[in-house]
Amino acid sequence: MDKIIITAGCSFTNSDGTWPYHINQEKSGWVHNVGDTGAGNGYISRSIVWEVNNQIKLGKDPKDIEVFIMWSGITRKEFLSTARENPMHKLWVDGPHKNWMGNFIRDEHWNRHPSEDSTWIKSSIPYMTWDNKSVTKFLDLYWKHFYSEEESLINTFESILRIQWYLDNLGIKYTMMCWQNIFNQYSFKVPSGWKRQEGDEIFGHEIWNLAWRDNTHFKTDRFWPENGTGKISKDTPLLKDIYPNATHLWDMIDWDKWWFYEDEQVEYGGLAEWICLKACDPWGNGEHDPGHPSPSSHKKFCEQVILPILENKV
Amino acid sequence: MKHLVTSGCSFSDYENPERTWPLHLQDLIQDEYRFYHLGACAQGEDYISRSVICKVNELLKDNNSDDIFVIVGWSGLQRRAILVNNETTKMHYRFKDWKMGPSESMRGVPIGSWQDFDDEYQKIQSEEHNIIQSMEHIIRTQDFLRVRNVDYKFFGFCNLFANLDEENFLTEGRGTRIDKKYPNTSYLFDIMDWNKWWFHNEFGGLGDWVNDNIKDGFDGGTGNSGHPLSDSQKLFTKEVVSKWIK
Repeated sequence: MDKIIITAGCSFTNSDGTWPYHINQEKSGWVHNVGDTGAGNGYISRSIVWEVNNQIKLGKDPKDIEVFIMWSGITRKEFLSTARENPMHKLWVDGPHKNWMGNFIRDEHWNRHPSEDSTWIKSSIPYMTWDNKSVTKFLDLYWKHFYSEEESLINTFESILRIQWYLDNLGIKYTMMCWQNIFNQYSFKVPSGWKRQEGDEIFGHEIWNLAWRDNTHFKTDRFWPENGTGKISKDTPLLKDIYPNATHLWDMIDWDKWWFYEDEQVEYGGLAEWICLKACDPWGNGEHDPGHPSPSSHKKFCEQVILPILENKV
Repeated sequence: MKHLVTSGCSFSDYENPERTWPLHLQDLIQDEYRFYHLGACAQGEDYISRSVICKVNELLKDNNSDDIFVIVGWSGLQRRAILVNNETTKMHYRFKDWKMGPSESMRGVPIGSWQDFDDEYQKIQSEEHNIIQSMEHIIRTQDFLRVRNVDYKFFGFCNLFANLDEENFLTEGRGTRIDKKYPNTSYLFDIMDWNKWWFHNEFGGLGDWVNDNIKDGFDGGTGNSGHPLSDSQKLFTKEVVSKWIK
């Protein structure tokens, strides 16, 4: 089997039992999963370029490479910290919460570029608190003095287009998708009968992790409720229309290369919407990881969405 | 009519008091080409890449790719810009009086208003990170033009790929290529199409060419500093740039 399947994304692509781990490698191709916890779209695009270039340097024919990208939240941002330039570098890499750092550059044995030299500090969501207080203080500077939603949307569109044009030039087959809808401005009002106050407006991942059903750390029955039938992202404003400076970038994206989950409630949906509304699975990966989908949901997603694309049945 | 898009920093800015190469080139071939000058003072690769991609994409709606040619004089890799919008005008005193329209354009290109934020970014972002970000902008522009079959030529306002030095932008004395110093940048050197670049000697740019070919060719007070004089830009256009036009 000459084929290599490069998969990229955030923790929805590379953590406990995520969808790339359910690809039958003997049958479909060897999986090189460059997904990384907390990765934003800048980091994701870099990890793809690095690994594709690495494979080509190793002699791989681009025709034998296929790439799957699951884009993450638009707000996320990474900063390269190095021992050369950052006096805080040692304090950061030796401190707690190391899993929020990483480098996509690896050696021939798949070992990451040593963090003692350099690493990418991943912001995750705005104003997230790290266990490493020094990193939190640093990232707060970014959120307070540099971040705007409009610029982060432009950066995400540019990351998408960078990969689209890079792979198109090389003639590499690829499919793009999202962890959840990242293109609309949408919210959801909590329906009646659940622990969270009825009518509370919730946003983004808070909708899909379904903790609003019980207001506890984790429960095994977090199914999408039957009375949660209203429109969520369907027919809501697109961010590219809210921010006209990004519209021309949106228009250049090749939407034929995307997979979305859509129904009467959602548009431009990703893995999260598919698990809640299509697979009708309970959300969560146990007490230790209630925010992520379970390996069994990932397995279904791989079998019902990824494999048909790999086998050219879509 | 063919179309020629130019962009870059002050070395390519048609409003620079010292006439720059885009205007000198226009003098030579204006009967054959319609010009779109996007170069702007103090801008880095953030603005330059966005201006070129947006403008070329717009031109491609009504023109064949064969009729479009792009020349970019890339700026310093350490430069960064911030998008001035309704959020950032509330964050920064220097933008407090900025009058925001529903959409903003620069040089007539609807990409928003990107303003120099070098000093602020240098406080939180390493030089190595800035180089990566700038090279990504260049490569994204390269890949966009290639995939749309638009021919182009790139060069640097000076040597961009030797060790950076704010005070001395010329090549001399600046040491080795930057990926030797900054290993996280090396894979980007692999995917740059160097065949589409013009260099003066090894990675030298417009400033290096003027320095080596013209005595006191700059407007700075100490001979080889500041911006190239109009006559220097004119000679550079005749000797170098005009030869890229087919």
